[in-house]
Amino acid sequence: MMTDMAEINAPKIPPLDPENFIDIDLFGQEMKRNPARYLKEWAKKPPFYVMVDGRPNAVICRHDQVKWAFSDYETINGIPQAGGRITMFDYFNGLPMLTEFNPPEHTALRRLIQPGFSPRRIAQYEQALNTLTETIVEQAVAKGSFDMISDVGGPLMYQLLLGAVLELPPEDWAVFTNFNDALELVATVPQGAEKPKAYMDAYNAAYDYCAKLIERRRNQEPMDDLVGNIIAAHDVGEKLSTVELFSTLMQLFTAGLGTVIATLGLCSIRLCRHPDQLKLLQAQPELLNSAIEECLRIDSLGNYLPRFVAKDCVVDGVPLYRGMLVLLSVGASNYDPDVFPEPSKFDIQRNPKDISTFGHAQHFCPGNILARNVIRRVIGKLVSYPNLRLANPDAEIQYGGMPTERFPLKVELRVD
Amino acid sequence: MPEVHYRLRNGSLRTIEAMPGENLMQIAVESGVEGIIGRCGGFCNCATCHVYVDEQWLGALPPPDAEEDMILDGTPAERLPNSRLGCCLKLSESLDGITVTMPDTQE
Repeated sequence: MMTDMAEINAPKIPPLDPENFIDIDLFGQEMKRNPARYLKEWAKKPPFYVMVDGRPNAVICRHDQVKWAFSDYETINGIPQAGGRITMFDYFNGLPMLTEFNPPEHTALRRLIQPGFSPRRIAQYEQALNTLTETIVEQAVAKGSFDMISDVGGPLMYQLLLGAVLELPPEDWAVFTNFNDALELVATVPQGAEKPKAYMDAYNAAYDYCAKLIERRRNQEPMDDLVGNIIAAHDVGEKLSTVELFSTLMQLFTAGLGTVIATLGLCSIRLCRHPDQLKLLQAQPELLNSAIEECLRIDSLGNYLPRFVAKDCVVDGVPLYRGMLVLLSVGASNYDPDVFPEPSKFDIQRNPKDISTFGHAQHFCPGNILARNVIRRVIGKLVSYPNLRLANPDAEIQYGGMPTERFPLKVELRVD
Repeated sequence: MPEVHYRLRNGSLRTIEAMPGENLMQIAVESGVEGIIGRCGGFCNCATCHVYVDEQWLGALPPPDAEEDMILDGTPAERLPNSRLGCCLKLSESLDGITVTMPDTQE
């Protein structure tokens, strides 16, 4: 059985040095629209504090410090402290997220999910990915102006992840696409307040679906697939509690949807706004892998990943106290000049290694290989059109998504 | 200091000196040895540091634990009896001269 969530009294944080505070809206439209302006400066700094909802949060930015914070789970981890979860990050309505577990419990959960996303398993979806990419992109470009998010990324990921990988019937996909769309509604809920009805309706529908799916699977011959193994871990192996069973399924059905769709949008914007690099890629398609890694570095979907300080510590001279929320800025880490010289320069020949976009260490994103494959395939197809460009190059892109993320709501492109 | 020989995909050999306690993935990535990626940073989480260990060295290695065994089941290149993950192979003087071969692909 997994460890119960530690919910302790609000932390007693001593007075913090005002010199270490920055006054900024970490989750606002400006931060989502122009992150590089801030990240490139933060990447050279020790951790700093920001007041959020009346509480001091810490932000860790340097590449080596972000990697340390991901690895040293006894000091920094995802287990909610300080009186419970932070409402604006409580995407699964109290269900524990995978990031909230430490080894050895996390290892047991990871062992259930990892085989479904191994390189060998992903290779089995290659044909489906190729066919979907060809069909969906060609349908989109035939429209003239098309939206990378709703015309390409959305349909492709629903069919690939929910259909091909997780084998849910098409009539059931809406349950999870609706829930995925509703996740960001928690972003503006004040700490401890009730979540909006639209979110709760979507959450309840997804939860009910998982309950029925579990029942259906129990009444059938057990299937040796990803979902079957997760249910068996609860029913047979008692390795999962009921809450963890639901939590794992709900995350499995949503975690890869929005993230890949948004990243496809970010990659398209970046390439179209750097025509010299786009032309270079079109002239030398063998640079595709390097170009995608550079897009993932310079435009990490997440600006931060939230964690908690589990043990008082001092990082680069800045004290962090038990119970503080700490934001690991994977976005800033990707701009650390000690690791990525001239970090603001978009250079598709850089082929960056050790980017922080998918996290590090124990919580390194298990879906990263699937995500990378999709992005390479779709962007590779798009750049094969010589006239690929933004349909309205001067229009300001609006961003949404989770508070910590930058999800471009619409990315209109043309290739004619 | 233990030396590791990496047989690259083009057939050539690269030799890297390691400090005892370092792992075989880590020194390859730090030295830019082609064919090993090590995306997760050495936490047995990603299957991108798969190598084939020369047979005569297999006996000198502890067998894979359950985590390594699971990840090895998901490597895109064929898993062979001498398949190991570089991040799980901690180097010591007794492994001085160990030779590994890169698989055709890591992802």
